[in-house]
Amino acid sequence: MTRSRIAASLIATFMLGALVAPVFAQTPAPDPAGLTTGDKGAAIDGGGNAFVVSEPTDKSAPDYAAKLKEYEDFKAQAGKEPLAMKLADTVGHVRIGSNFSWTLMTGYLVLFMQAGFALLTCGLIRKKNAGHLMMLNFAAYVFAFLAYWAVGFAFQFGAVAVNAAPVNLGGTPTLSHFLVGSGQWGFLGGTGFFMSGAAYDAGSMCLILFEVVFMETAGYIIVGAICERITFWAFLLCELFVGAFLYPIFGGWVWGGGWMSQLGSSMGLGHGYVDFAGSSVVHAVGGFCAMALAVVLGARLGKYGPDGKPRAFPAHNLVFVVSGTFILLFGWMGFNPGSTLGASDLRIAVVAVNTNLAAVAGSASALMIWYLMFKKPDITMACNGMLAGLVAITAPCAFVSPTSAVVIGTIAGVIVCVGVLFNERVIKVDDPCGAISVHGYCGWFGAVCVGIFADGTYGAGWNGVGASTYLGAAGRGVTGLLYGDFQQFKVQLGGATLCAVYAFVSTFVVFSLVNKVKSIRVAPEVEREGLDVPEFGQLCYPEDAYETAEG
Amino acid sequence: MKLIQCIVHPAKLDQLVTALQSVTSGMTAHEIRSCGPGISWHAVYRGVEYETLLPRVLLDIVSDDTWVDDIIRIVVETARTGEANNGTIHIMPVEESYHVRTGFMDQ
Repeated sequence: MTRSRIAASLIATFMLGALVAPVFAQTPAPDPAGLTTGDKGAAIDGGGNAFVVSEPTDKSAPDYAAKLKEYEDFKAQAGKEPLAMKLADTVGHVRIGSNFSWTLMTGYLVLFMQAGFALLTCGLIRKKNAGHLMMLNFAAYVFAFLAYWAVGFAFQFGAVAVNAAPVNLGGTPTLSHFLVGSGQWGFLGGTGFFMSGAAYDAGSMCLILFEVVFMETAGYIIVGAICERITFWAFLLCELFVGAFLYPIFGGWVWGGGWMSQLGSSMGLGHGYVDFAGSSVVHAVGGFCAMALAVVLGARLGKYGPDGKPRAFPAHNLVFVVSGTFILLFGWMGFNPGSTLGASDLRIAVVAVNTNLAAVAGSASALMIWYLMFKKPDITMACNGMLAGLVAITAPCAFVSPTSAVVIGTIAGVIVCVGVLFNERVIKVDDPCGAISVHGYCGWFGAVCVGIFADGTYGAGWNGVGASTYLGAAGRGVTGLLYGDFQQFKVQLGGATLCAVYAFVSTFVVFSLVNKVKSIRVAPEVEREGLDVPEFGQLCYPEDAYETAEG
Repeated sequence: MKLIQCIVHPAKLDQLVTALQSVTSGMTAHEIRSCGPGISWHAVYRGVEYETLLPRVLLDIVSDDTWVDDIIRIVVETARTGEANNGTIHIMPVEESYHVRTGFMDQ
């Protein structure tokens, strides 16, 4: 797929706008009221066995005779017990209903992470720029959401039903067309523009609520690296770019049933590229996008002395930093366990524990490393370490044991410390909040961890691979290097690296060009005095004594 | 008339205000940061080391010349702990002073 063809498709998409959706509307009609989403077909037991036995179609299959008998037995039984069939419809509807409430509820938790990010990043910067930073966090949510509404969701999930139907939410059968690519080589989704047409469906809407807050996470990760010097208009462009293109395109490749997710069935690479909740899809994309922007922007004035040594710009409010971090940890309890898209998947309990374990392990290792290196434990690095553990466990959280979660978190805590020092002292990319290290480096590491630590206890049939047997064992799921699947490691390493390169290069190219046309950085005198008043006309912390006269 | 500027430790402010009440008619306190020889904090933020000033209180007292010796004595006695960095006192002449409300100052 050439770049020019993709570009041509994008332009065509914009011109056609909302017209595209109805054109591709497929036979199953959308269900906006949610009346038919979840019937007896959704009545499935814990092992994934459907209540309704479907008719076998492949006559050459070795177990065809057994399957046919099973089907005929079911038909005979169903004929005798019509009430049971009716009850199965209710059971299926209730199951989908419980999955809806889980997915929406965890989506709300992820939404709350916005507050955590705002507090964390605000606390970490100097108070002269605090108002500007809060506006960035706020505007990120608003504008990236609108970009995702217009085209982002369609690009990411417009063809999800083709290869990756979210069965826990009723399968969203109407989202079934690729704009670019087809079958196992999908590159860009093509239905659900403006969240209407095929997407105006209860199941799709549930998916949208959950996925839009994930996109927002990538959207506000970048704030941490570009704050204290970016102009507001350039920041809005960044958010539109992330919400409409950067995030949805890669997200579609991995979560929308796109080509990366299908590498298992198409090229025999394990279960295809697996990223459970977004170490790479969300965090590495955000982190490396942030890195490219930080490179284009350059370091803050005075960050490096005449001798080239970095100077300290101390955090202005540690209370914000710590409370923000704990809000993020709390929100992550939606981010990871919610990514099952359903409470009927009981693995959520393992996911929740793994997530917490990696968080505390990451925090402990970052804190202890700093204690040993600088003789003083740094609270801001302990917080970064907690987030590093969370970011790294996000991809493997469902596939690994609690012991592995602790190992992953501990290593992530090391990576974040080394990454912060490396960025600041070696490559001299100024990252006020450590976003590049936390989200970029640890995101890449987390995605690779799936290929190392996945123990095969979960994910049988993931991405359409190994539904009956995998590596010679029935019910074996996603398996990493340590448990005997080298192919999975290969695809994880390649996929995570591709993610980093994709996010960095595309952002760097786009915003280098923008920067050539008009500088995306504020004037030096604005930066020296603080961005609050020059950019927005108001201070975050106005002087108590400066009030308007009463008489 | 004299302006007496005392730089003292914030922990002593409470006692000073009480002790000075009998010899002054009022004072102004400023939160300041100061340093002196060997007196500053060696701070480290995310691995970068830097020096930071210590929080102190600057007291401005305007007083009749007759009270100056008493004020100095009280400040020294109250704010002293015996360690280094207990603070400093500076005395300056005041040319004129007025109350904003009345436009003149009673002697």
